[in-house]
Amino acid sequence: MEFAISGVVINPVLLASIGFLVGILGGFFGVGGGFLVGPFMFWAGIPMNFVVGTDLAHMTGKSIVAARRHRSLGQVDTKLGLLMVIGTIPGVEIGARIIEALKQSDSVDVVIGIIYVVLLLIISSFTAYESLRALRMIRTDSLDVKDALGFHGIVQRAYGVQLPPMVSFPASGIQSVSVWLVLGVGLITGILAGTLGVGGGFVRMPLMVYVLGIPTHVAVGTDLFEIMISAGFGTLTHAIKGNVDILMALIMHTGAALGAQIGAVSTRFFVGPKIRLLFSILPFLGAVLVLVRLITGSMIHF
Amino acid sequence: MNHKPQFSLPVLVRNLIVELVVYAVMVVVYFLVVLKYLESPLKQLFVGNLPVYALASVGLIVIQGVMLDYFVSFLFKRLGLPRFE
Repeated sequence: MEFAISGVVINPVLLASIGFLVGILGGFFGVGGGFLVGPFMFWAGIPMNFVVGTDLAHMTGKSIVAARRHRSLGQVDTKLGLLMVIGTIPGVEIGARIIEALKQSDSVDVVIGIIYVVLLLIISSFTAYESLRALRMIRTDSLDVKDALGFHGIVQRAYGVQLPPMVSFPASGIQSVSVWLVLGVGLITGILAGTLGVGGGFVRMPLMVYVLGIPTHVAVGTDLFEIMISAGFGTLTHAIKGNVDILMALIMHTGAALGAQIGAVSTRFFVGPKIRLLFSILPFLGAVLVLVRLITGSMIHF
Repeated sequence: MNHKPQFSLPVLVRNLIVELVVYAVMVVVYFLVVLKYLESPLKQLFVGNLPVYALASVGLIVIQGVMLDYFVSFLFKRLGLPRFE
């Protein structure tokens, strides 16, 4: 089927299937899954500017369902999510303008592709290392899983940033943290979202856990809540710039909506470090997909 | 403390299979009917009026998100299946 808006020919059933798979992963890990959908869409021959905008659109719809599920499980810190959005929205706009500048110079595919690869490999390595450390701590020290954070020192240093105003997040068990830290997390992930077309969760969730010290299950739900808002704004600004094929997004979302619900309830079966360890595989897979396309120029034709 | 599942695996699998089958049927109908009618007007908006296209895009994906979620909930109630939450 040819999608008239982006001019791309791709099988709609395949789009829905990819949406379904990524929906499961997204609901489970509390991420939008854009860092997998994006590389696949690019690999399938979709121009990177449409990858960015369309991915955000599909995640907007998907995150609504997943966030609702996590909220029903009591895993959403609404106060934290809304505060982060204040930082995320300007970041998304900055990212969208970066895409426009790259379009002007006809270098959007290469530049964004390289950024994808580097960032995904860093996230994968860091998360795998930390979660393995945490699992070792649980086994050897009989540490409660809620306390098993392989980089406890990072959280302590973050709390040492006493830059007012300070804010508490009772739903996450956080008594006092600088609001600038929260806004900074939002801004960084917003820029990533606007530039890479991802929800930012694959960065935001580790930042919430390792920097802010948010319990993993709350980080998962709150991240999805925040994605719902930031991806919506990202969809709007990218659509205005002509980077969204909404038909493609609607099709992907039909599969993702189902997968997200399955993924959300599955978090009840795993402890925090195990979730993080499994999570570390996903960015690595995304990096491989983008790297293959950049190096070989291979495209999937369906 | 480990989280222990508090549900029946057969129930979960049954829920999943039913949901998948119904969803597959719905999606095919959806593709054939709704998206075909949307294609032309959306293309015209994309070419002629991007701000309105942007609003329509956000509106469509949000509406679809809410509708799909309610549809699945309704489906499970009709089928008399408990949701695992």
